[in-house]
Amino acid sequence: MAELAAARGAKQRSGFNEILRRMRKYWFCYLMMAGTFALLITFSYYPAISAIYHSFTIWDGFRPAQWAGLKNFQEVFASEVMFGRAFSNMLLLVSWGVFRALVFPLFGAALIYRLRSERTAYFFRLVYVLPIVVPATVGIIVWRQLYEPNVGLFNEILKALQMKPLAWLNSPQTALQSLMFIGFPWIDGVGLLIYLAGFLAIPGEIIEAAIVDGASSVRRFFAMELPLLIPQVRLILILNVIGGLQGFGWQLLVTRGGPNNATTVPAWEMYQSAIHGGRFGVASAIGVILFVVIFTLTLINNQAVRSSVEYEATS
Amino acid sequence: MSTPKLSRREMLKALGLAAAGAALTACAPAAAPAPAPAPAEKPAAKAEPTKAPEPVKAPAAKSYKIVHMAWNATPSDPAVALPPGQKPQVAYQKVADEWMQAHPNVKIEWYRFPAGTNFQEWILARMTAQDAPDIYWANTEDLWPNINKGWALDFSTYMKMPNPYVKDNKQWVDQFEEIAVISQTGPDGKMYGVNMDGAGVLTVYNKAAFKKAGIAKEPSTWGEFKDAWKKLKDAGYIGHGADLSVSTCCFPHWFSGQTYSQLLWDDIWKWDDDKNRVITAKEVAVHFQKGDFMDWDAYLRMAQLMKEMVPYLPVGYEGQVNYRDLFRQDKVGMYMEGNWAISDFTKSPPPFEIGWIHFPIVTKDLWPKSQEKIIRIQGAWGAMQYHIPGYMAQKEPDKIPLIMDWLMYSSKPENVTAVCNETSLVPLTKGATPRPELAPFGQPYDRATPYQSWCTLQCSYGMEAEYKLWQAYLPSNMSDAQFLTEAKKSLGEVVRKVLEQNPDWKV
Repeated sequence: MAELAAARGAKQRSGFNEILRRMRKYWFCYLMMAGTFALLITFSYYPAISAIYHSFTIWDGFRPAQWAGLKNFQEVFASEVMFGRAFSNMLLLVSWGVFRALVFPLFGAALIYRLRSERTAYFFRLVYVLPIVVPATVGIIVWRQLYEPNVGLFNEILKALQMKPLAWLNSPQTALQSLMFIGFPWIDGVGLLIYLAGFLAIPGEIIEAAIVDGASSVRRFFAMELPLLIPQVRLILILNVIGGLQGFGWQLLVTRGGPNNATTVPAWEMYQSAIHGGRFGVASAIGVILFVVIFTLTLINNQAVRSSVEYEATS
Repeated sequence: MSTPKLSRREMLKALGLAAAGAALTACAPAAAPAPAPAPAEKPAAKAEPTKAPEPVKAPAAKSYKIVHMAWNATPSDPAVALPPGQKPQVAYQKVADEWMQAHPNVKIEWYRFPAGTNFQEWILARMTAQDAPDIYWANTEDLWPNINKGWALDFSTYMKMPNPYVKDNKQWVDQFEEIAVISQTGPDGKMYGVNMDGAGVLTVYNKAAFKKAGIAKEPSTWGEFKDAWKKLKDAGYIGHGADLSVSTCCFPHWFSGQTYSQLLWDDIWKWDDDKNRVITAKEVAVHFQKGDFMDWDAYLRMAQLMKEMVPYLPVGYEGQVNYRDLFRQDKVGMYMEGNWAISDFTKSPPPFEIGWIHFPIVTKDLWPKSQEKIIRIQGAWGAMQYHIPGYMAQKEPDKIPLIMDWLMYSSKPENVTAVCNETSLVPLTKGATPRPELAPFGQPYDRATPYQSWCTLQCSYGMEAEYKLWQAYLPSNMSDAQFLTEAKKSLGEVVRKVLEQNPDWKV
């Protein structure tokens, strides 16, 4: 037993010595990285750690923080808006966001992949990818105009069809659904490119063998291509889950979380509590809850979504 | 004696240390300046006006720079080309040049607010970093919740001093209309800024639409307005342009300010504990705790009146609607507007003639205690409402008398007139005259209510909470009893947050 402990200690020492040796040897590299680390610590880790501490305090950002224990968390969990409405909206928006990011670009990429003419494939790829160059804000303004309740295109169509105009983003009854419809037909250019790259990486001989064996296009997709695209699926899944949980762009630019909190999400409540309410303690508590949710979901995602075949990265 | 040889590595180390030292030195804050000689005029320690009003002179040995964020009154940047036909703003620059001539070692530098920046984020960052302009513009609703964090310097002492630039002035505060003083009175009853100009609110209407709808006489009472809205709707117009979005300007709080004050009238003063003619957030919080705030019957009546407007509001009024554009497009019959719109209407007139009318008078048949008098939103939100960061008292105390002197000079009636002629805002400085186009805003009224109305949820920092209350009540079948329960709950929540940040207001 003592020998085992001594051996472990010696191993740890030699590991530590090895690190020191490497640091001495590559000191210039470490020096070069020091600036980046300093910035990372200052602007990423320190604020995160500070937020964890301040989530247990009442703090207005200026006067000394007062220790409050779990009061902020209790307030968030007890709040009908901050927890009930915001988290249920977030769940719905993230689920829908992930679904549309996974399915529709995949569908588009599969169609382009199957095109025989390279020129046509190139054309459609360009058509789907080109909107990326349009700034997101412009897209938001365009959609807002389409939804405008008094002179917007959608209501003009309804009026032409002798139907009653809707308030779309302006009504608590329709705001969330209207928000979810934005971006139709939901083929995101980046997602499409990621999938297309995955499709193109599938070895041609596998597909040819399947065709020779008489596998239909649908069967090929579900039995061969989709399993081989799992790394892409995982990437898009993680990016969209994290982006969806943290995002509040539409709330900031269009709905302000309303009307009557109909479109609010935790990140928006966090922003509001801090910037407008001066309640940094509560905002930090929401941030900590979001961190726990994101961290857990990422772990689950990494464990649950595994490809049957994963290619090793080559050096 | 041999000199030790420096290896390449040691030399690099030494150079690195020297460079780091130099960088640190460069980044270090400048040494605190030695206390400057006392300026000629210092704030009076007591409330009595000082006897010898003389302009402040900066100590000759030192030069000063006052960074002034003058908002819409900022002179045009000579380096930026203006759109064709637009005249440069020069009035405030002329005023500054005159003052600088008398203060040769002081420079006024204009702070140009970065375009597209969110004001609340900007001010939060500036106050945290303590690098705000020496004089900054801010709407009081953004300031009051933060006053206890030292965002603004107390002007009260200076306000009691004479303005040396205005003949026979005994106290600076006497120069301003009462509503300007009320607007700058903070939650604790002290004055945290100077308000030389401001905004007035009236209802602007489309004369052609009125004619088309068969409205022969300008409406004046609530009943007449309702009749006009109906006629406009029948003629294919949106009766009244408005929305309840939390980012709107400014129908809900203009409406509640004018209606609630009209319903309460002199009853409002029962909450004015310090008798300064302002119902402060502190008074609201204290009376709410005592259980005698607010007048819920009047509040419910106000809500009912607003609900009566619903059929005549634009589709989707619960969220953001650009009813100002709809008005210009000849789709809206009337809406409430601030006088700043005058310059827009002058520069780019709508394709029809416009007129201005007062807010509807609530008659006795609707509210027995009604005074049947004209009420007007008036007060802050002008270009010349200025504050000084509170940290200046510690950081650069010697600069404060100079800044105050500059503001006193700015507030000379002729200077305010010159600036207001360019900004199209209503002077709230006695002796200053508005542009002729602002004549409708000069019409007499019986009472002005501050821009940020009193005694609803708003004055205790709950504007957004109140807007959400309207968003829930107006489009739904919520009963009056339910509405009152929700309103009380909402105010209670707002007061709880206010007390969290102002624990000394707890009863």
